[in-house]
Amino acid sequence: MIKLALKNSNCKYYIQERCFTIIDGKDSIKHLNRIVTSDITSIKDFESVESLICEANGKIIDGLEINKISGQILVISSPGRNEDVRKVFSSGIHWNEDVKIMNADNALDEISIFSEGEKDIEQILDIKIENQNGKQWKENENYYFQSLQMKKDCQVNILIPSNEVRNFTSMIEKRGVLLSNKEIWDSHRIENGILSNVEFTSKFLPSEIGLDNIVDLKKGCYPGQEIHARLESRGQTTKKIVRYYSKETLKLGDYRSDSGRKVKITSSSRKKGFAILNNKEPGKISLDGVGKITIEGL
Amino acid sequence: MGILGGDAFSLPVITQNEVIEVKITVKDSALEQMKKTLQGEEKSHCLVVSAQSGGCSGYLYDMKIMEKPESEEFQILDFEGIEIYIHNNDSALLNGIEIEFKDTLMGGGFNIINPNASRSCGCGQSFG
Repeated sequence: MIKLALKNSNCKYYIQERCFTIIDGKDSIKHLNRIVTSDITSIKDFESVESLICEANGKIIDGLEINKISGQILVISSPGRNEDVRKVFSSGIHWNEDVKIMNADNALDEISIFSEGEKDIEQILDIKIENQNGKQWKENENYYFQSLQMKKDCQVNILIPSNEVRNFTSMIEKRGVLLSNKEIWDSHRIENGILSNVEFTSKFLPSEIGLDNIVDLKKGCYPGQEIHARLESRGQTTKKIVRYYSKETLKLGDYRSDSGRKVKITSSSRKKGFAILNNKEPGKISLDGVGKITIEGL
Repeated sequence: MGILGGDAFSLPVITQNEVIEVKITVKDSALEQMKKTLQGEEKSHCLVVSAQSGGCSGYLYDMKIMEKPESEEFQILDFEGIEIYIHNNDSALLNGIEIEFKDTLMGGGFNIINPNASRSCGCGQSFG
């Protein structure tokens, strides 16, 4: 059946910058579970678990999406620190364990399709979106997809072999989906509270970028656990991540607020972005050389 | 099986382990304890010292008395008839370690002092 382009479709797609590592072997989950902040021992097939990999001082090396697909573990991470992440994965495999680490960067791609509602995406991909928590993969034709209902938009992530990307994007373009540039993608993810590679790889503590929920202090030791437990029991995190709105689109980097405290802009697009700043900053602050910005929690 | 099916077999495999010739020190207290534990089974059994990912600092020590593994990937170190096996993959992490035994009620047992560790956690089982 030939699918026609949707009239007035507001769907867009963006090809993500991601690193793909396949961890194979019967002990792959056991090995990975000793390294990451979440408990992945009971991960089910086609399930996706968000996690972090940290240094011994508690700071994040990278954010990970750990997926079990058709019995194999696929870890999706940021391109900036892929060497560090894979070094951690490939060292410390016990001599008696069956674990194989494979680089799948040239074999897989992730494409995000986003729109205001799910109907358009369902029609374009000829799929039924049921579970929208982003934690389940479903198979369709030659790709896997997961859907997320976010604050403002619906997003479907497509995991697809790299050699199928051209055919797939050409198919969805014919059906009315527009290629999004980085500015549009950044604007969408900022509005919906999706962190970028910059937030994940700038050596923040999990609590500083609102990721306490993917740190499991009861699972046992992992690198950084001692620091995370201490911070949790003492409640001493001084920084927080916020969404800001400004009169101009700000450049990434360090600024000073009117109280003299450091404010780090980590994401910016179309007069909004993410900033990491001191917990004590109020809802409206002025930045040096920029003027007033309004901030809100994620 | 797997996300890429048969194509996954052609993916580049990542191995980071540098293999070096291992030298370790076993203190008299540790050697005495190993002899007591092996109790005449020195010919068939050995002590395998290894490292694995995890712990608060990045790696965890593992020590096991077991039947001598047949794999050629182990380096065998002999201490008065007691054989200590260290896997090639762990050679860079464990080269230069000193094994001692502490006979105390609190925190007693085998203890590893590792010159390669830039940090270790409170329990002494994790290093990085």
